[in-house]
Amino acid sequence: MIEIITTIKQVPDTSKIRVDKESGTLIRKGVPAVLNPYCEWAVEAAVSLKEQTPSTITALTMGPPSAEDILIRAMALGADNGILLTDRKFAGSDCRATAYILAQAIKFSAPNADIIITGEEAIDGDTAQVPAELSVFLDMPFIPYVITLESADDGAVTLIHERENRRERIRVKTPFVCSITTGFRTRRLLPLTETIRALSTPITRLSATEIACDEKMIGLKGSPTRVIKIENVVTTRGGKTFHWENRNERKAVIESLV
Amino acid sequence: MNRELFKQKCVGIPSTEQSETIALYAKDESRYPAGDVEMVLFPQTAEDVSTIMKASLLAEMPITTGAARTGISGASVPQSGTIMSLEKVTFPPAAHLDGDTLYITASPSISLAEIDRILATPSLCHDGESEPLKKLHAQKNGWIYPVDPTEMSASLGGSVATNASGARSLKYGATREWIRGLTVVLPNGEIVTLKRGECKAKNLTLTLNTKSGKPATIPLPAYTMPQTKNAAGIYAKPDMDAVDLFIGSEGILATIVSLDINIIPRITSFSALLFTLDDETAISLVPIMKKMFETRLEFLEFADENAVDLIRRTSENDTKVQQLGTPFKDAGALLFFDIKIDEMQSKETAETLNKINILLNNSDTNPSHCLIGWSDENRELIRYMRHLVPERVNEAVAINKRSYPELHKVGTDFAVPDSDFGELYNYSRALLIESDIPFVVFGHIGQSHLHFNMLPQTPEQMKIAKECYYRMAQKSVSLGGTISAEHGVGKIKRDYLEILYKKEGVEMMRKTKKSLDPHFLLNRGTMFREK
Repeated sequence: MIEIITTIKQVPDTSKIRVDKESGTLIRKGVPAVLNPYCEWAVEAAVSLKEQTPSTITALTMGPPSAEDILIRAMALGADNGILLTDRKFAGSDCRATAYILAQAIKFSAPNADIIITGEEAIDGDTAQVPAELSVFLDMPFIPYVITLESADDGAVTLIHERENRRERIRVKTPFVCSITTGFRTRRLLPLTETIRALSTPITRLSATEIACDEKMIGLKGSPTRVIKIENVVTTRGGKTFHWENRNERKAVIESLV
Repeated sequence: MNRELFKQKCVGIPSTEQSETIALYAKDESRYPAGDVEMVLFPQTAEDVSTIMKASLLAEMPITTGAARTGISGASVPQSGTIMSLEKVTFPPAAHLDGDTLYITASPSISLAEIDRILATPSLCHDGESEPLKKLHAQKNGWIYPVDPTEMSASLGGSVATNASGARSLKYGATREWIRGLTVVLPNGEIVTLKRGECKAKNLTLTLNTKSGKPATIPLPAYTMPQTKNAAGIYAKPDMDAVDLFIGSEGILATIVSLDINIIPRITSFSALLFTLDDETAISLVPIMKKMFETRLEFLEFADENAVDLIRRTSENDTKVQQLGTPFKDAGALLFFDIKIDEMQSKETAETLNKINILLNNSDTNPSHCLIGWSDENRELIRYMRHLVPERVNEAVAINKRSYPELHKVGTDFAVPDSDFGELYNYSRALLIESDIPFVVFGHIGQSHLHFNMLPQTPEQMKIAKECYYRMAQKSVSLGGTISAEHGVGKIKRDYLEILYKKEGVEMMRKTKKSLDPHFLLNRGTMFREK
C-alpha cells in the first residue's frame, strides 16, 4: 500500500479578481475561493496512480476553517482523507514558513508517507517555491514539473517530467516530493456515491501545537520574506535606426553599441 | 411599394444592397426560404428605427426585423421588402435601482451570453461608486438573468419577442416574468416607453401614450390562452399589462429598442447527469423528484433512449463525451437536473444527496451512474451534453438531406398540463412507432414539455411525419396544451395556429395587428398570414 500526501491550497478565483492599481495587491474581497487548479491536477495525479496500485491518499491544506471546502473537493475527486491545518499562529506565513508547517504536519500525521504530490504553484502567488522548500524540510528528493506518474513498484515510481527542452522518463525511489505541472487531466464529474462519501468523511483539524511547530519558524515572525513594494512593471520595446555614410561611421556605430 | 421614396427617407442610416450580404441576412436557423429583398438597413438608435418605420408606412415598404438570427421558426426570414437588422442598436447595459430592487437596462442586440458574462462578475465590467453599482458589486457570486434558453447567442430583443424559455423555466418561468419595462417603436414610428404596472387593458382594449402625445388604441383578442407554458399567439388577458402585449408577439406589433430586465443573485447549486436503465425509469423519477425537491429543483431535462443512442453512435471521437465512462456506455435514457443548495459542504447538501441515493436504489438505478458536478467546468460539461442532443439531430438531418434535399426535421414544441403528460407522450410515441418514423425525444420534462424530433429519411416518410405532427398537435390542444411552448410560431408553424385558437381567434389577432399596422408592413407573414 502506497501512502500518498497531496498538499493543496485554496486560492481566489483569479478569473474574477482585480488588482488594486495603487498598492499593486490583489483585491480579494468578494471573490469566490476555489481549489488551486495545479493542486486539483496533483490530486488527479494521485488518483490515477491509485487506480493502478493500491494506495491511500490524504489531502492536506493550511488555511482558515473555510478551506474545508477544497478538502471536500479533493476527497470527492478520490482522496481518502482530509487534514486542515488551521491556527491563528499560521497567519502571515511566507513560502518558507508554509513549507515548514506542511512538513511538520506530514512528519506528525504521515511519517511513513511514500509520495508527496504538490501542484507546481498557486495561481495567487505564482512563486512555485513551496514544493522545493517542502522537500528540504522533509529531507527528500524533489522532482519538479511532473506530467505523469506512470506506475509504482518495488518502492519506486516511474514518472515523466518536463525539462527545459525535453521530457524525461525517470524512476525515483520513494519517498520523494514532486510537483505537478499543467494539464494532467480534464476535470471529472464525480459519481454520486463518491460525493456522498466525501461529504461524510470527517476532516481532521490540527493546530500549530499539535504538529509541534517551532513558533519562531511560523507566521509573520517565522517569515524571512518582506514585500517592500509591488509595482506594475510595463516593459516597452522600441527600435532605433542607425545610418552611416562610410566604413568609419559604421565602425563608430557598432562600437557605440558594443 | 415606392423604393426610391423609401431610400430617400432613410438616407443617413447605414445600409447595404449587396446581394451576398442580403443573402446572409435573409435567413435564420430555420432554413425557411426567403423572398426577394431590396436592402438591409442597420439602424443605430430608437430614432433611426422610428425613421425607418415612418418611411415604411409612407412608401408601403414591408420591413422584416432580425438581430442574432438564431430563431428556428422563420420569423426573421423576409418574404419581401427590406430587412431591418437591429444588431447595431447597442448601448452598454446599465444598473438601476427601483426602491431596493436592482434591474438592468439593456439594448435589444446584446446577446444572452454577454449579459450572463457581465452579471457573473460585475466588478470586472463596471467601475464606479453609484448606489446601483455598489449593490451590484456587493453580491459575492454575481447575479443572473435567470431565463436560460439553450441558445445563448440569441439576442435579448429576439428572446423577448418570442417569450423564450429554457431549462430554468421550471423554476423561474419564461422571459415574460423577467421583463419590467420596454421601449418600443410602433409601425407608425411612434416611440412608446412602457413600465409594468403603469398601463393596463380595460374591456379588452389597451390605450398607449406615445411620445408625440397621440394615443394608440389597440383591441385585444378575447380568447383564453392555454394554461401551460406557451409561446404561440398574441398574449391576451382582459386586464393585461401593456408590456405583455409586446412580449411573445414575435415583432409583428412593434420593434423593441430597449429593455429593463430583472436579475437575482446567482445561486449555489450542484448539477447532475443521471443515466437510467431506460425511458420508463427516467420518466417515473420525474414526479417523485419534483415532489421531493420542489422549488429547489432548478431544472429537470430529459433525453430518451433514441437520443442517447444517437449521441453514442456519433461521439466515438468526442473526448468530452468519452470521459463520462461506463455510466454513459451503459445508459438507456438521461436526466439532467440542478438542485439549489446553500453551500456544498453542508448537512443540507449531504441530506439531499442521500435522498437521491435512496431514491435511485429504490428505482433500480445505479447511484454511481448519477454524476455530480459543482465547479464551473463540471457544469459546462453537463451543459455541453444537454446541447449535444439537438446538435446531433441537426447533423443527422443534414446527412438525410444529402439524398433528398427537400427533407427537414419535423419537431414538436408541445406542452400539456402535468396531469396529461403521460397521455400525450404515450400517444405520440405509439403513433411514431406505428408509422415507422425514426425519432428522438428530448426536452423540458419538468414542465411536461418535450420535443419529439422526427427524422424522415425519404420524401414518403416526410409526408407521414407531417401528418403525425398534425395529429399530435391536435392531441396536445385537446388536452389543454399548446402547439408551441417556447420556439414561437414564426412562418413555419402559422398554419397550425388555428388548431389552437380556431379561425375566430386568429381573426382577432389580425384585428389587433391591423389597429397598429393596417397594411401589414411590419414582419409580414409571421405568426399568421394577412388574410
